[in-house]
Amino acid sequence: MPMTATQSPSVADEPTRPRRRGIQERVVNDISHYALVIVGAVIVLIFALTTSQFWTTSNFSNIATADSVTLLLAVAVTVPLRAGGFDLSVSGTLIDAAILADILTTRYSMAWPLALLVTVAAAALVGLVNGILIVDLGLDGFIVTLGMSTLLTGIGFGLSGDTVLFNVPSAVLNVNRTDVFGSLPVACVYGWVIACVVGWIIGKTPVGRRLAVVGTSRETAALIGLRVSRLRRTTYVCSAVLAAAAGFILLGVIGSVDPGSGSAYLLAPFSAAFLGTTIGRSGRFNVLGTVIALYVLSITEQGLVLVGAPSWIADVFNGAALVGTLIFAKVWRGRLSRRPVR
Amino acid sequence: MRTGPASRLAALGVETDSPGAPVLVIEELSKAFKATRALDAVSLTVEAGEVHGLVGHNGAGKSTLVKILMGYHEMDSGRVLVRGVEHTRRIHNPAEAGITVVQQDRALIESMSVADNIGLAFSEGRRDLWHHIRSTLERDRCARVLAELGMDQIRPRDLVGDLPENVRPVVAIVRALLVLEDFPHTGVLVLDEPTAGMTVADAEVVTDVARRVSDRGHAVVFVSHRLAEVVSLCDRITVLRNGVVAAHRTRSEVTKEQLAALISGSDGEADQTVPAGRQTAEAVLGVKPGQELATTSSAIRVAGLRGGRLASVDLEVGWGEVVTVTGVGGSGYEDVIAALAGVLPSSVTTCVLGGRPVLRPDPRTLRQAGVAIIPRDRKRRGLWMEASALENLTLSRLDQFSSGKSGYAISQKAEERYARDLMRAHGIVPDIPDIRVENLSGGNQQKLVFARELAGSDRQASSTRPRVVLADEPVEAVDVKTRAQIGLLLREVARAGGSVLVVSADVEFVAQVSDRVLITRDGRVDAELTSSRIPDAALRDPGVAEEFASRILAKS
Repeated sequence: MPMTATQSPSVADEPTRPRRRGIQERVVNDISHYALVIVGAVIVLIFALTTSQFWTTSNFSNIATADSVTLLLAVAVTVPLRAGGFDLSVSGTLIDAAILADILTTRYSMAWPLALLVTVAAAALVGLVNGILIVDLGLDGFIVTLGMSTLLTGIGFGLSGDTVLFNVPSAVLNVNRTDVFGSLPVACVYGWVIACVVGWIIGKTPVGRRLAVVGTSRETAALIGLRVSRLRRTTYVCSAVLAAAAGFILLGVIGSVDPGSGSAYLLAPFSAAFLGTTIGRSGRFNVLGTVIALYVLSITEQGLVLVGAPSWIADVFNGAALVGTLIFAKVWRGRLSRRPVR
Repeated sequence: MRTGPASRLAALGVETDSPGAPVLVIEELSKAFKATRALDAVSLTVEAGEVHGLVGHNGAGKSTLVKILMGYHEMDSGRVLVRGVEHTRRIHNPAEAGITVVQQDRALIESMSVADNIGLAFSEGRRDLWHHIRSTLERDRCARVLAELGMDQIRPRDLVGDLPENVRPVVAIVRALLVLEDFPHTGVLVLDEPTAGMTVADAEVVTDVARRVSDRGHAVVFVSHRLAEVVSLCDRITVLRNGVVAAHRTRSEVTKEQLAALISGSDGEADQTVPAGRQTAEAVLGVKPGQELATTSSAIRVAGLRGGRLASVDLEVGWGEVVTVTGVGGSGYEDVIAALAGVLPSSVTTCVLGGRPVLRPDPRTLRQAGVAIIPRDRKRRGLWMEASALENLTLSRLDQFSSGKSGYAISQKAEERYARDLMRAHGIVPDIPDIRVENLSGGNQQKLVFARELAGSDRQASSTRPRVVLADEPVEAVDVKTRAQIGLLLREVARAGGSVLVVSADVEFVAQVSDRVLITRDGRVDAELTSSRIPDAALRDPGVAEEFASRILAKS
């Protein structure tokens, strides 16, 4: 009895002759990959020309200081995002890590390096639990990490005794606040170094490439023989560990930790990570893009505040940036998808 | 001597509303998808009472043209005139315009009767007070039309599932015809590969019906690649090649061999695929002719494979042979490689691949055993669509491009060189490593998968390249030239001593490429067929292959 046919026109694939790209197309194409940088530069220029307080060392070091925690958090969420997962629990881990580090160094008089180690280990455990729930049990990552975030916040209130912790050992403060390059707290440098290392791994090494396949083409990744589950689980551990590092920096730079402040740290990292996908040719989540996006967003916010915009402008910005990136990705990148990628 | 459509219709006493004027005119039709031009200024006309053949290789533009006539695609430029009414941009309501299309999958529901299937096009499933009366009227109309088409052996009450396979397309044709005749004027009936997969005798039933439809005054467009049929049935034939009209011919002025030559281009081109295939395999496998990768262990030995639609399958493939598993849709052959590779939940009693025992079928274990897997559904499983050709090719061998010296960063230069060489060796066009995979044609995409797989992976235990190849529908949605290249590549793997297991529904391909064919039924291997020995560096002789194909069809 007859079987499915040989090549039928309705199954066979449509055509073969590629078109040559014109010079104009190629230039537009290349510019669009770095559009965000150009936009950022323009914004800086505008503010520098209109506000006298903008182009000062103190302004920029304020921004860097304020962003020291958010930077690490943004890098933290970039890792699972690249592999196709959402970790919304980073803000919970952030606060709990700060609280734990504070308790260990004050109540138990632990040396700060040991306290840091314990905190990071505890965070890794949280990340592992996330990983198992999401990857092995197959639960929805979004919901699981959202739930975990709430759980962690509750634990934070419990650990801190429901109050803001003010008592931070000077050792912790010093290791974070010592000024380098004039007025920049060294904690910022820690953040940059960590961002560079993570960015290198994610962007340049085989592991980073494999994370990208897992994130965008999971079935192919599995069939090629990649350890998809292990990779995905590891990204959740990474995000938790990085969030813990950010928590330590938070403790040192701000000098206090408010158990209820976690949610304020949630949106900006994700906005930055998504906006960061517009940088570079592949549209994938990457650390460099995340970092640039974060600074463009906060420099713009700060500039607006300096010219007198109300303080709620920050939220409007982050939200708009997030939605705007998604629209951009769909519309512009959809048309750009005919271009080569590297 | 056959007369032209107009005079034939006159002889039959059929009134047409515009005798001599064409019912369907396609003028300078062009359509492009992203960066590729599917149709380029294509023009053709079809008169009332004419059966017009549309032939061409895959990727030539036939399916795009049909989809435009169906109203599915928009035209970039050009126009379509049906019964003198002009359509530009898109044919919004094909039925009203006077066009119906019978697609290859026919869309028939086997558990419903013939009359009900036909009624699907009309009643929209309404079950109201008038349903009984309507359905009786429909049945009568059905029976009348079937008789007029000489198909009175089909009764309207028969369930489609009970009808023999070769007769089912007629039901779909009748449905389309009745839609057409719901309007007072004659129209256009497009038949898209209506005889695919049929024996010659069975196909005659369908072509007969097609002729009778045209005798009613309609214009019939017959899309097929069975050239013998096209030449005997069609009054005029249009050959598409690479999106343009390569030729218009009338029946009397062309033979099927000439048509084949027109479809593939000059004879010189067709010959070139043979040496290309050979070079490819040597470059790719790194094996010199005569050199063998022989071992004494079995290549593929599987017992008790269960999973998907497979109840229990035993099979064995030796070194140096190509074995294909095929069968009727649903009989289980489709799941053999998916089960072996662990893509489907499966289990196996014994499994030896490439001489190594495999305890659990899953992709990682198979990779370690040095097995190359060419999955079906390449866009979802075989390729990383959101990446470049280069990124796809190096995916399984990333460790070779990064070293501790460079901080484990992947060397762009090394990658690019590797990718370009590999693309050239496999004849992937254009050989730009940066090209996004989605911009490659289906044939080139498939070649990319082969290139990556045959090069081996980091994970392999031994350093030699894969010696066992599992190819699941290797030529699905692939153009004719690439089909030949892939067929030759599989033969070369076997000639070099490797072992190839193929799963395919493409009987023509199976017959050209396989040393042995296993046929499944109800989840088990039911029969094994073999044919003449295939000469080195070639595919099986077409005549022998055709005979083999019909034996395979008969056994399934």
